[in-house]
Amino acid sequence: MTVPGASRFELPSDALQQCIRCGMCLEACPTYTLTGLETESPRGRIHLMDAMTHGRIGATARVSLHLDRCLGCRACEAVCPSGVPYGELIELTRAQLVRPSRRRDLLLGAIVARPRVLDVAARVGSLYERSGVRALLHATGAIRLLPPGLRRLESLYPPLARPRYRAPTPPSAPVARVALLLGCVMRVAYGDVHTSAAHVLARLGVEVVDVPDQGCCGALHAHAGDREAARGLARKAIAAFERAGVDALVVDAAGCGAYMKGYGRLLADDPAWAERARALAARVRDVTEYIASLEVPAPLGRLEARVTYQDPCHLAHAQGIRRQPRELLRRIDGLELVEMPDADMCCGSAGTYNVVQPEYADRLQRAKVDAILSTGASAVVSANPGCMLQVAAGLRARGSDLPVLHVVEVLDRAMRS
Amino acid sequence: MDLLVRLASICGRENVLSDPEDLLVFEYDAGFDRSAPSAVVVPATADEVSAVVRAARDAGVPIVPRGAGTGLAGGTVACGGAIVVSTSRLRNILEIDTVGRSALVEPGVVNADLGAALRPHGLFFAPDPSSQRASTIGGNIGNNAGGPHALRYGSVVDHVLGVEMVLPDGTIAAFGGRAPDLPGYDLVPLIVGSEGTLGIVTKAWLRLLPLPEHVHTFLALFPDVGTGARAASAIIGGGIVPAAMEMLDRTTMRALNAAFDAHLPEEAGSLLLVEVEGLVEECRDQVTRIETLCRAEGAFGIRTATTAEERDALWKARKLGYPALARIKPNNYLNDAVVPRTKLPEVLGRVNGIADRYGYTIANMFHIGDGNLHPVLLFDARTEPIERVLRAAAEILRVAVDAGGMLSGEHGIGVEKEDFMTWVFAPEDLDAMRRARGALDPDGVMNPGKVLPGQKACGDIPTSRIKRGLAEGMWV
Amino acid sequence: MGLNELGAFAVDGRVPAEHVDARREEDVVEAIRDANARRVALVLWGGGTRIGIGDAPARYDVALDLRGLRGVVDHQPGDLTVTVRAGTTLAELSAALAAHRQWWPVEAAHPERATVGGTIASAADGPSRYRYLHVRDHVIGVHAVLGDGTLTRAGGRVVKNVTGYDLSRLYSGTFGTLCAIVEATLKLTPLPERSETLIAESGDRASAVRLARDLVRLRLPLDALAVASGSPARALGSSAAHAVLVRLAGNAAAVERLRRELASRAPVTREVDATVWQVLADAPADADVSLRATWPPALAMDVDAGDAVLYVGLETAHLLAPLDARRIAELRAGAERREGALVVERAPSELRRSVGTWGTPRVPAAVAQRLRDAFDPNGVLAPGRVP
Repeated sequence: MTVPGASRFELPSDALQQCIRCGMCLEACPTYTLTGLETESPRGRIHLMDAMTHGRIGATARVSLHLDRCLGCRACEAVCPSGVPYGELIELTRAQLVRPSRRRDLLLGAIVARPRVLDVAARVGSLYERSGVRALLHATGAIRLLPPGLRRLESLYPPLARPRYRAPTPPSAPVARVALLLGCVMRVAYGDVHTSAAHVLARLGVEVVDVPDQGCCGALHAHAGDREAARGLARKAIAAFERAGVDALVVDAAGCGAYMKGYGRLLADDPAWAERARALAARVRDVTEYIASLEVPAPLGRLEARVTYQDPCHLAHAQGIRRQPRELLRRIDGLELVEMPDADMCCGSAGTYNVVQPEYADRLQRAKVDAILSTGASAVVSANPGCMLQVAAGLRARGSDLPVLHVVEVLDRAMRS
Repeated sequence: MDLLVRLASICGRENVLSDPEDLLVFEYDAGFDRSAPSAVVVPATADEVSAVVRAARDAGVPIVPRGAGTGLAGGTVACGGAIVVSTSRLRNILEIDTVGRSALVEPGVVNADLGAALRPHGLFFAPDPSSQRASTIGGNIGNNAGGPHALRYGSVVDHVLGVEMVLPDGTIAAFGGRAPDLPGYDLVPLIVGSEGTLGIVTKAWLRLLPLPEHVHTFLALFPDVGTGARAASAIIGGGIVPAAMEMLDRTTMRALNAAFDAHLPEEAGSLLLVEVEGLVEECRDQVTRIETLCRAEGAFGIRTATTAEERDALWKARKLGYPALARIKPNNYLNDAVVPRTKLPEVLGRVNGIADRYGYTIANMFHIGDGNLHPVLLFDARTEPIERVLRAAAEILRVAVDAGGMLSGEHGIGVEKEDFMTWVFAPEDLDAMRRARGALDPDGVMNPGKVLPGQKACGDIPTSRIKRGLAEGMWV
Repeated sequence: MGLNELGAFAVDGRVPAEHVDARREEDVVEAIRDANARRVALVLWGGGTRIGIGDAPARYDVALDLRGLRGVVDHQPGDLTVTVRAGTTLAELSAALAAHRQWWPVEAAHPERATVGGTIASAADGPSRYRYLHVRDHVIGVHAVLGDGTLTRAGGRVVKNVTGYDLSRLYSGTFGTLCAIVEATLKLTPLPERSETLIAESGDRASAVRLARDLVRLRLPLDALAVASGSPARALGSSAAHAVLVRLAGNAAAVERLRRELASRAPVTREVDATVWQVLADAPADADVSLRATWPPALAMDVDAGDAVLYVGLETAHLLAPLDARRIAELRAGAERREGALVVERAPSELRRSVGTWGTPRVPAAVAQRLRDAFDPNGVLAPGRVP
């Protein structure tokens, strides 16, 4: 049976065929465990993609709903025994399903989901320009979108704006030279996390070189369904980092890191860029991954604290990095790391998700806050800005003032003492 | 439609699915037979299940219970206009009794989650089907699931003290309970393994065991499948029953190494993955005897897991091995025949011969200790016709039956093999089963078309039609 | 057969009019078909060790004696399976298997008389249950003649099997009311290399029970564990009123280790002859009043009911004192409040009638009746004995 108008949808047969419907992904999926509905499961979504590809169903609103509800956390991919490239499938699906106008809304959502972007951007003119936020807002008529979005987003607003990125004094005899991805959202919203990352690296003898024109990694665009824009941004980033000639490209936002590690696949069909994309992807390191690979002193400073660690999806599932951040935290004298239940279950942030699927996002956020509070920790540590924002908002809503820190912030404080 | 409105009023609108796109997501399990239900409903309490069953009954609509849909025999695939009742929201562990060593759980509890909850108490629920990361206790009960450790501990039926079940007329009834040996007929062994044809289990009292003090896991490497199989027969024949004994052939090892970086020795033609557990003294002795028997049959190496991490890695690879085979060829057909253990070497030879004759790559990864074969035929459904795969699978079944075996050791009959039931049971034997089923479901509203041959409900499933032809054609 | 001989087949005071001595499966088929044709009622007989369990039959015309179906049909030592005719006694079976150092891990009363068929049909129990659980867990297939005379097979000869409904195990514990089991295929277990029985005696019941509970909590793999009080304690040679018995089994090193562990933690050191377990198994079958109480989770040990065999860790107590109807009713109410049960296995007819054999059955009556109607449509198999 072929549904009229459905024939345009297509996904790579090899990738789809890889799923044998074994169901091993179900329990890894936040939306399935939340609802108990297989329509909100990875296996179900793959089946829908397959049915669309084979023209059994069209891209109806119902199908879109289930696919939109996917957080893109890729927890399913991490546990899939058959090796289904789910992240790629959902990205290709969104690129085909999402209407251009909706794509714009999603991207805007992604940006306003970090309201500090707007706030800080208004004051930091030059960064604002460079980050491309202004252009985006103007081009898409952001004002129309903002009021309902912002009403919801107010709760995400942290009470204080955070300082912007300040580069450290370079080490005198560097053991390595790296670049730090400043990105689009992080640059304006979490400049102080970059500062911490760079200072920790500098203290460990690593020089962080300045890379102008690096731009945005493209992940937000891709997750919003605009794969072409993402490819454009990827080419720009590749060129910029190639020019810097560094040993590694260090990323302190898990979502960006995960995306850049996949540049090879993203540009595989572009002969001019495929090899360059692969080469750059091979040099991308999450900041925790990179620091853990260095010969570092033990202990890594001192900090009296009892903390719990929240695995960002794009670090744990997409990059397989779970051990390193925990190891680094454990190496701090006086710091006790207590595990929360389901530390690697998505917090509900997931890029645009808390704007687009507020109900599910809230339920996931509540579960995450419960898990955090059950540990009795005095701080929550994570490694991705979206998660940090979501967790902090959830804690505030519960009346908790538990600090939410990036791993590098904790390291920075410990090493300063 | 009246029924949908009623179901929504019972479970809430979001827990009743009826859009055709949504129903498509329930047309499958992990096997090959597909058919979409007419609606899906996901109740959250036993009372809701009961109300749903009554509503369906009033509407004259049959019911198919579903856990995680990880079955391989189509037991949860709905045909004949049936609705699916999913237990995935009934996922509470209600009690863990550490003194009486029992647990009371809802059917949607995931097997692995129960294990994790029990570990801090030093207890475990023995059945460990390879699907345990996703499969539910309710599904495990429906299929009388086994798993590698069924060799020592038996299947689910040995570990269920009682169940609460919603009968096809909607009443909630208990069969057995917290204590063993309650008076009256013991219907637990009839209900366990009934594949959702008798009612919907809404609670289960499970028997727990204390974790063993010592576990020893090792691999014995053999030049080929035949020598490994002879060693397995010799071990059982020698009166040693390990906790688990699995065979993996080279094809399987390659897939597992690719999928999990499992470091399995691909230079071996087959290996036995053996686990013994209990008192350390007992284990040592068993290991020595097993290793001696393995070497006598030609084992050229023994590799022991020295840490818990190594052991976990081996079991992870083994348990996720079946889906990992998709890395070799996208589709695979997993057989589940079981044969007397003395017949293993001969049967394996014939099974591999069938695969060769058809030209299929075959992967053998199975519970050799209890004779439960899982020959997996690898193919690509885009280019190779399913009819031919099913024919080869039927020939394999035939070999097992001729050796005194049975159709299924742990996956069940479902809609996958019901037509082959006539290969192992006479009409009067099947009629006895029909009588037992009829005592609980006199009107045939629970999971129609499953387990027993000669029913019409699932007749339109294309794969089912092919198999019926094979079952009827090959016997005489 | 004369009236005197028929008197030996009386059940609860009812003497049958006929005795049929079945030698082959066909004899059983014929006898049951004949009963259907004549609308007479049968009671199936094995060794008679558990024939007293059940309410008085509503009708009883023919004693169908299955002891003549005798002998091992097929023993496959390499498969750890054996197929036997139902009338084979447990002692005969053990003797046949011992040569291969295997056994069917079911201990029951009077193995020289108890038959395999009767043991399965009556879900017999004994000390082996501590480790090996239900009889039914060691049955993998049967030939059974249903109540309408149909000879059927269920299960198979493989140790793991989900090919259709598991009728073999369903028949266990139905006390010959759904079918006559005429042949069974059993799952066997290797005999342990060594087995040792230790005893600890105690003057008071509470401390004996406490000791047994502590032994359960040690989490050591014990082979059997029981507390005998009063007459069963004396019967096994205890000088004190109460005795805790522990059986250790395994290879020599394991048994040695277990003995060391027990000695260091509990006063269980004296070894006694293994035959004490048979004394325990026989006790409930020989007492004039014998009650089987299941009492979770704290066990029936809270009840001081005199002569008793307690299977600690199994929640089961065999109470053997001559209790009266009021006391039995009290105990039953207590057991049922705890989601347990009390079955009157042996009692004088009058007493049994006043309290009933079973108490509250844990299966819906309508389902049990439909099952009976399906397997025994004319009600010829021991009508009225089982709820």
